[in-house]
Amino acid sequence: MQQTDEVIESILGVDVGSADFPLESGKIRELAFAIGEDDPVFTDPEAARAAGYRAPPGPLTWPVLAGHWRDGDEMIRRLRVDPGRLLHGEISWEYLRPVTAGMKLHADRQVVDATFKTGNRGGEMRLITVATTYTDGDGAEVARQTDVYIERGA
Amino acid sequence: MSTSTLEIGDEAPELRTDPVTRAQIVRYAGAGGDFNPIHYDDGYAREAGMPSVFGHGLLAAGIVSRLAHRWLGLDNVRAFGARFTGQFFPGDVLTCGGRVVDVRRAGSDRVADCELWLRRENGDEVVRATATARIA
Repeated sequence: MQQTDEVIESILGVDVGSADFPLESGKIRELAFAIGEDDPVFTDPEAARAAGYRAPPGPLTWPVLAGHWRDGDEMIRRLRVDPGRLLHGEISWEYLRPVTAGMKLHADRQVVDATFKTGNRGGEMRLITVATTYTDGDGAEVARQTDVYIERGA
Repeated sequence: MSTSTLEIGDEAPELRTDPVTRAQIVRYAGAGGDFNPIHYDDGYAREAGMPSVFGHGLLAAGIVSRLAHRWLGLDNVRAFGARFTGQFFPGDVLTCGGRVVDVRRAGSDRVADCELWLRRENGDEVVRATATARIA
């Protein structure tokens, strides 16, 4: 792995998958079932309304649903990484506005950092940080996501 | 959901899952759109050096998010994050817990910073997570 500023510079700012996507009640329901969430607010429009929501809200990991509207391989191609050596290290979100089923959202996703690091066992790794901004139909920010991917050395 | 009484040291009521099944992992693959065969194809997983298929990190994060919702309330959570520290496998009973580690001012709100974790029965950590909730 070339440890040069050039390699790092070449991926900063790269768009790794922007998308428009609908936040749909069926996918919210499917996500809730998949994680074992049984609060009816996520699956029953009546329960959602009784709790004060316009429609079922997104559970906390709702932003993963944007992935269905992006080409997942695009990030691998644009980062020019070997998918066999790429691990997802961490993910975090800030929630700015509540989201509910029926909203039309937009996600912009970019590489914001790429640094080399020596791992605990002496191997070299590259940590790639990707930031995603989610906005609603009015362009207001609803959430921010930060992913850290670890590319292990060859 | 009221977080108004949260103090440093408060602990979340523990959440314990049923044994994880391959069906649940497949369900999550569809829900989250991650069809990496390492999560559903045992032959592929073993060739990659794993004992069997294992669950998605984001499935584990989703399970932890249930605790955050149940303990803190969806609308109060301002931030939530997860570090993927270990694998979990079909058959695992997972336990999730959390603790308030700080209470501070953030803008016009008071917030509680919490550490959350997800572990296998043998104590192996799967996810180390954080959540920040508005105190209201």
